Amino acid sequence: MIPVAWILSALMMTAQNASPQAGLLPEKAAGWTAVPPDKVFEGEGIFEYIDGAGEVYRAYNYRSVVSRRYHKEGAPDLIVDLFDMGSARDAFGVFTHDLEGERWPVGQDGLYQSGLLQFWRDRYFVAVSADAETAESKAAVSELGAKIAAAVGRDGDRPELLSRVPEDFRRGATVRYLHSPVILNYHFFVSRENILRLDATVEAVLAAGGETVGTAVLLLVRYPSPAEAERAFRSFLEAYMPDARTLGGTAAPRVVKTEDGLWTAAARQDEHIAVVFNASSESRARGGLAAALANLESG
Amino acid sequence: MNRKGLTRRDFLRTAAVAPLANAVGCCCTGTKFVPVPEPDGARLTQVARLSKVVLVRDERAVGEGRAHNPEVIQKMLDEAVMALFGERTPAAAWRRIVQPSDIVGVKTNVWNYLPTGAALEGAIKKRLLEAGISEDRIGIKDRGVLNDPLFQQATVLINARPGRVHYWSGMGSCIKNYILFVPKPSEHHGEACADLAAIWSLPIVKGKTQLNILSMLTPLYHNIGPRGFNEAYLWPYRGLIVGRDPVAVDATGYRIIQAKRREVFGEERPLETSAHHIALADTRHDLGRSNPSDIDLVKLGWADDILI
Repeated sequence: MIPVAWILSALMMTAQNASPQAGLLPEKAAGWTAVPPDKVFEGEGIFEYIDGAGEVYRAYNYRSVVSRRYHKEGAPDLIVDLFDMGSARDAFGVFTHDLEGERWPVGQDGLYQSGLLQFWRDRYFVAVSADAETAESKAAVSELGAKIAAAVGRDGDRPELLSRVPEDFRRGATVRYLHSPVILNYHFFVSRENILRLDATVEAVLAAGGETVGTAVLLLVRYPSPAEAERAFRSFLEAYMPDARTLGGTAAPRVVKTEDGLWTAAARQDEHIAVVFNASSESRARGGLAAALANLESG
Repeated sequence: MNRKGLTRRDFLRTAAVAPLANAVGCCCTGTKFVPVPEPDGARLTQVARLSKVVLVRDERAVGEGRAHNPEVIQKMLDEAVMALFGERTPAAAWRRIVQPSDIVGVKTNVWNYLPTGAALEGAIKKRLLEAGISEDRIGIKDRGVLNDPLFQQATVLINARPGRVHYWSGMGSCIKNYILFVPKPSEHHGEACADLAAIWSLPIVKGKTQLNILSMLTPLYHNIGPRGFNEAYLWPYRGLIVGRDPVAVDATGYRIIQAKRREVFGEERPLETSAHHIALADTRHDLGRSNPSDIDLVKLGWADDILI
């Protein structure tokens, strides 16, 4: 058997020989200087570096990550983790996994908290952190982030599916973009099995905490074809709401009161599935679902 | 349960057991919902023995720059194992853990931001050598244990790691420290590492662990960012939690981390990921006991800001 350490080492070495995104990182910023060598990981090698959260990047199909440390005498070290996510939608998606922090004008949607700056741009997700937060390190983190964002050069497009979230579910909400049942369950547990048949070809948006929708959570899922959406919808109905009432004909929305006294409503429309979980009343569940379906139609 | 496995609704049906689960980090609080332990009322009512856990603290254990004090840590470990086994000397206590004929693997943790550390590893090794184990029959290792001949042949395992929050499993626990005994650790990441305890049934580890040490010298109570580490979220608790039951050790450490989060944040703030693998190690895998009422917690030493 080949030792795991050897395999991981090989993954790291392979990546080191091909890390074009390292060219996006400056040698110096705000008086800090890069300390070679960079660390580069791909595949399962990410667990060597990132430990638990590596699962998140794998779930968004990350290609590789390059990590570079910066040093300045008498000041906390800075570390940049630059992830090549392969596409703007996955860079945006992995960014939405952790939305804690204060808005920061660096890259796309920059957020800052406790010495950590995170943003996405084009197909890259970037985290710049200081070993300790000081006024000086905070400014340096910001400058370093800005240099990287400038080197990336262009913004990426947000996934179009986001625009289909009704305004009521979007205002004040936490909106996440995902493909993986692992990520869905991390934020909102639905089922141990992949009953919605999510995978890398499927896009989903989860909106929770909207100001005007109370406890309701909206999940919109887009499949490659109506037939695949129909298979997933049948799977979901069978596993999650076999006792649901049909609101109309066989293809009509379904609604059910769940064991916590809240309401779930779901429907398929063309290549989409929309589900409103946790609505406080049947009318709210139905209303939220109707708004989502109308938005899906409008495009 | 539907034929496709547990759903959110199945867990809502068993919500009656949530109070037990919440004691050790279940997950129905806040906006998140992840599985709660399965009901196991019959077994719980039959619990007769308590799992003994020793928490020992010394304010001299950690100095400036997180420097560990080897002498103090040795003393803490000695006091803990003596209390755990009810012995009057470290030698007598360690005779309850190992025999001279044993091959001993010390599963440590080398995460570069917060490793187990040479002081604690050295304290363990010193007592193993004194117990008559020759140096070539002692292995101290983290990565690579699965394919290490010494660990493969080990007759005794000692499990020593720092307590910290963990992005994917909620808590970096003694239970979790054995994830490198499987060929593909990521296969055990499902449901926030819910079934980590299953690893403890694998032949390479099953029944071999004689001591679990959760280092709470400088635990990490909060994490942010990809690497899950920021110096600002460490605190010098200066403690060790020691026991034979890994679940009881972890549950105790987790309560301390929860208390620290309450103290710092001024509110009940759930972890980004629930540490339900600890409760499930009890209720689903029967590896040990997670409920505080099933744990005999012995506290030794420095008591300031003990949080439990």
